[in-house]
Amino acid sequence: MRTVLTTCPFCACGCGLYVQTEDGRPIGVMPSENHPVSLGKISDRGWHTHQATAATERLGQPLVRRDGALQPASWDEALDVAAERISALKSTGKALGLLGSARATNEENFLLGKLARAALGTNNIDFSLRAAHGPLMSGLQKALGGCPAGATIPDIAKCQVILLWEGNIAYSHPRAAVAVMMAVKAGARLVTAGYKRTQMSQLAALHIHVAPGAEGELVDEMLAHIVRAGLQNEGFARARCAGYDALVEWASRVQISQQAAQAAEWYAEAERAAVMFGSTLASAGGESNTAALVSLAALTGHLGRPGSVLLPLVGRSNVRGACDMGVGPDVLPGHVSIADAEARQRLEKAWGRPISAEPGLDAQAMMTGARALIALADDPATGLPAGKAAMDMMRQMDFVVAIDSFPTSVTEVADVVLPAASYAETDGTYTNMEGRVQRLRACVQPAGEARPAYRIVCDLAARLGYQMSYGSPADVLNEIASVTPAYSGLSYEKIEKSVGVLTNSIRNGRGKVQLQAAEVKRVTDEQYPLALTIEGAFDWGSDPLVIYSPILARDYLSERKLYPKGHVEMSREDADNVGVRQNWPVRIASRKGEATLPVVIREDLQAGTMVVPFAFRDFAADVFGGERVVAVRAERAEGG
Amino acid sequence: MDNIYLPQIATIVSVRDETPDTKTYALKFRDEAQHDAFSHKPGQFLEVSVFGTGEAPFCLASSPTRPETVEITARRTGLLTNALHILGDGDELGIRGPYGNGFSVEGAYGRDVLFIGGGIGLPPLRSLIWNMLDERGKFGDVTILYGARTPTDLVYKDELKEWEQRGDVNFRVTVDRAEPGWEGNVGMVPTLFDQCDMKPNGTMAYVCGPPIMIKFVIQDLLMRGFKEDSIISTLERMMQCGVGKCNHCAIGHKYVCRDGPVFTYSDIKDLVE
Amino acid sequence: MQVGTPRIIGRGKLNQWVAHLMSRAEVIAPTAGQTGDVLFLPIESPEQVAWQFENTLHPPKQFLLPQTEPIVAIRRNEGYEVEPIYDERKRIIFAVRNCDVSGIKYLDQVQNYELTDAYYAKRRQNTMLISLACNRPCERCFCICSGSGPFLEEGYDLQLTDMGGKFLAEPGTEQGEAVLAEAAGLFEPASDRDTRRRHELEEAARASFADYTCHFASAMRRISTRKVDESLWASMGDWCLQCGGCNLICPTCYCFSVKDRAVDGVVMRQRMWDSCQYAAFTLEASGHNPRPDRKDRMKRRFFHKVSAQYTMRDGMVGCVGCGRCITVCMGTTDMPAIARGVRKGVWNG
Repeated sequence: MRTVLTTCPFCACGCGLYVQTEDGRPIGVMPSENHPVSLGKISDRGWHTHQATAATERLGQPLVRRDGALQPASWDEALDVAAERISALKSTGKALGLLGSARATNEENFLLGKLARAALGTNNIDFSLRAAHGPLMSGLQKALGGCPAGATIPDIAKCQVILLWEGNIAYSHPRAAVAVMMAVKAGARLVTAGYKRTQMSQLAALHIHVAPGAEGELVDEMLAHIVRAGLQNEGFARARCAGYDALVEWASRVQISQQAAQAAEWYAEAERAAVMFGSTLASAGGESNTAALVSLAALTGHLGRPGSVLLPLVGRSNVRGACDMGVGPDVLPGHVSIADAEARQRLEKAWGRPISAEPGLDAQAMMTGARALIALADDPATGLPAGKAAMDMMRQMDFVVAIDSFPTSVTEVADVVLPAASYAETDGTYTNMEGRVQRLRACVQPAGEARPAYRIVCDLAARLGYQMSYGSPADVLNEIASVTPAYSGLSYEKIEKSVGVLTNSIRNGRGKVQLQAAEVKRVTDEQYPLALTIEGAFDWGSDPLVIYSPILARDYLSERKLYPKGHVEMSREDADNVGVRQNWPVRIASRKGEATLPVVIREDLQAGTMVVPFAFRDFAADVFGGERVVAVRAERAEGG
Repeated sequence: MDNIYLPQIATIVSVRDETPDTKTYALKFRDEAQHDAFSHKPGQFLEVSVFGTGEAPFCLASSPTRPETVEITARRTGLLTNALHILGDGDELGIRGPYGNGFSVEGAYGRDVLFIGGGIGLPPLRSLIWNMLDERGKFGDVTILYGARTPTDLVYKDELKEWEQRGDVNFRVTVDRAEPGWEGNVGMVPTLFDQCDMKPNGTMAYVCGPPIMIKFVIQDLLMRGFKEDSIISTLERMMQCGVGKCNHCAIGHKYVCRDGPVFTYSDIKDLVE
Repeated sequence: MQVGTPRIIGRGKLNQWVAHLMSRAEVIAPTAGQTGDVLFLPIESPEQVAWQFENTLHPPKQFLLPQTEPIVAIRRNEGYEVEPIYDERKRIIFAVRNCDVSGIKYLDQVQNYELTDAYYAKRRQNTMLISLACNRPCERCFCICSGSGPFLEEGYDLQLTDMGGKFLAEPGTEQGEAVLAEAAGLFEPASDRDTRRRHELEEAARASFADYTCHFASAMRRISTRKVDESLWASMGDWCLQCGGCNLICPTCYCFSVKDRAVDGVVMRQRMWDSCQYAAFTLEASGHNPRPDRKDRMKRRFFHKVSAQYTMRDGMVGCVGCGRCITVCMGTTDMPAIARGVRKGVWNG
């Protein structure tokens, strides 16, 4: 038996684990006891990391679509076809789109960005999960000029007060949930805020019910209370922040609830406190919500204080890395705005090609606006709010290239499929939600004829007339370090020495923290009194790493089997008002459209809130109309 | 050393459609000696492999008194049964077993016997019914009550007619919902109870069907005075190994695959998670 | 139970002895991994053995019950052919701690209970256990609470005791005795003083167990008579994150699932570790789940580990006090904590 220390490819906690192999096949996983994040623990997903990569369904053969069906082809043939068609479409002025991925490595994402901007001259690059988590990162960017680093998951365990804004971290970020539990066990006060009472709420000293879309209100109340109760660090506020006076003036007009005041007080008075926020905060006004949270941390002196934590709970292993690598239509590597002329010039110099300052199409817009698509380990149908409709949109395109290790909706509609080495077969780096850059290490040989994705991107670029070649992913990281301020000085040697390196993307001498309140949007009104939200921003059950793992698939897909037509969740009170019982059909209607779904009554929901699990958002697509939160009314449908 | 996980190969001799989503497979071990050596008790089950898809437990639907073939009846519900339903005569399956405790045929010698089956719950009872009918003299009155949702959903339709026509069996059938052409009883299985002359004292009652049906039927029988250890049913649990090692089917320290699947009502009451 | 007489080997001769063992079998020993972890792995040279270690997080059970194990190869020629895949490699698990030896003894019991698992049996009969007794308990362990260590009278082929400049080797089986005889040149008979010293070390070790204790008897009583309140299991369940780590890491857990997967053109039936803490562990095809809530699964785990019913069946309680669940648990529901909660009827996280 052999073991290889690598980083878990599932969520953004980035636990260190050993993949065990026997005769060149992955057979098991063991946690790393001394790894700074995992400290011996890994989630159910992590424990089965070895399974998906060994699936029979692995893509191991290049495929080209002929006469309507995907046929095996050689690498040269497949790459040639891809390059020819893309060139042809480009030369006729057709819009191209590229999708990177939250499960691709930094090296792969970076090179895809280079392919897009340098080789193909387009800013139409994005990844499907950016919409859900991007606002968190850009909110930090706006307020601070970047993502703070230095705070780690184990730090959370030592905090005395924790403000937790997120659906259910026991499910989405288990290792972070552990840290919260440790803190509570040691006497910390946990405040949970959200529309559902989750497992974490059971442990909270205070749970604040917040209707979907109204998260900004709560942040504002807390912010206002800090100012009105004199809990701020005024010296810091005046010296290091901008917009203090305007904030004070604004605060005088805010109505503050008792719960918000309590939470704010606990937070301000604690020596070490954590604020953890995820996609729930990003569903409506995410950027300004995040900026307001930063203001909260800044005003109370927690920003940058050793031991205090400000942590964006991004959804998947490399969301933060993908953002950092510039996988976005308006960002360059380092999460720098495309409007930043200096940054553009630096890249143009390094890459030898001009870079447009015009923001490109985001993932959603690409589905209808691009005629050709290159998708690297990304799956719009599972990541975008559009859901399965994205497959039809991709079918309408002239040409689709899928670079992936597993069958997805993209490989199903693709014209060319280029098989990539999986997370267990390639070297690379991931950046977890702490900002820690860690190594993914190859444990086994790639399946079939699969190749490392970074090589595939280079081969494509070469055929498109842009040479880029690297001896190894380590070389790619060296280039990343040279053009990305936040990653400067980073190298595989450095990572090797300390397991992982925390990046700090706040540029030095950036200046003042932008204080601001959150925008408050009231979603509901008299005609449409209920707030309907999509729950979460990511559905593990549709992820190939889960689908192709026998143990995980069994657990994560059982909901789908029980509800082949999806379902909508309602509180008991609302269900009684509407006159429905468990599994009865309910018609929900918004200003945009309507849908009928079976209802699941939940005791952890309060009246006024209805929830559609992310996996079932397709069934309510008309109701949402592209939004994550809408106002609806509900009534009993026939056939109960 | 015996290998409890190694399947034996069996060939499908014939397939019979029972309902639109249920089929009965008659199997014969590919190796004649293995077939001759095979014997089972009614109520036992087999772990059947559809090679390439997986393995799942199926109760034996054939009686040990008719050993020419070994039969299972399977409804198409998931991955494995869908793969099974594609197979036909001559195709091969894997078999491990027989596993489980089975019904005690001897325990009913000399007694009146009452069978109550619902829907897809009839197959395990069928193995016992034919066993008893093939040794008819050893038992007292034999009553068979069977119901399904609709006439189409009745399984073993030809055999039901046989049982109806036999003079030594009191057979009644009902459906929840009639279809055109149905002239028989309409109503759930308990509605048949008052049509027969039940003698709670000394009668062995065998009940198999959907969990909710079993629950109501047993309640009814108890009210009528049936004894707790004369009411016999089968339990179902998620299984993997079928031999008491994987722990999926454990209830407390009892294993449905070893201590069951046949349990008396008093056993069931004692089973605690 | 002693077979043969105890011997002494000088510390300086250990590598020679290990080299000899390596000529006879694959030697699996504690090795230094990255980030300071110690891992039981097959060694390629005697120098790789990491002698100073408490216990590894990985349980040596994985060499007898791998996390993924091919058990039947299914091929199609004219008809189907099935072939069992046995692993009969000769192995020595070297410097294994006695809690793990007890764990293996437990697995021997359950894998042979009523029916024998041939895969386990073949691996087991080709595996020698050379244990290294603990002179000092580690922070998390409580083996004395279930009689699983720190020193044992039996269960090993050889038990080593580190006495500083030399090691004492006690044979527990004829195989162990034979191994000592083979390397006769490296060993000397142990003196009475040596044997006394070994017993002193055992006494000192037993006396120095500190914080973690686990009073199984009273917890067992309540669990076995189902006197633990449902609400207590529910409170405990709130502190569990369903990772399954407790079961996967535990030396006495052995639940598994079986799946068919195509590997290189052959359908391979594989056995894989599973956990009763996973929601779908008992999920039936109909959609019904007899253990739908965390509290149900928490109750199940501790019934299997610490009930009189199972203890009588298996001859020993299902916990060897290795303390791994304390490290691996993502929540706070490790064995000592739960046993305490059950005994006191109170759970505070």
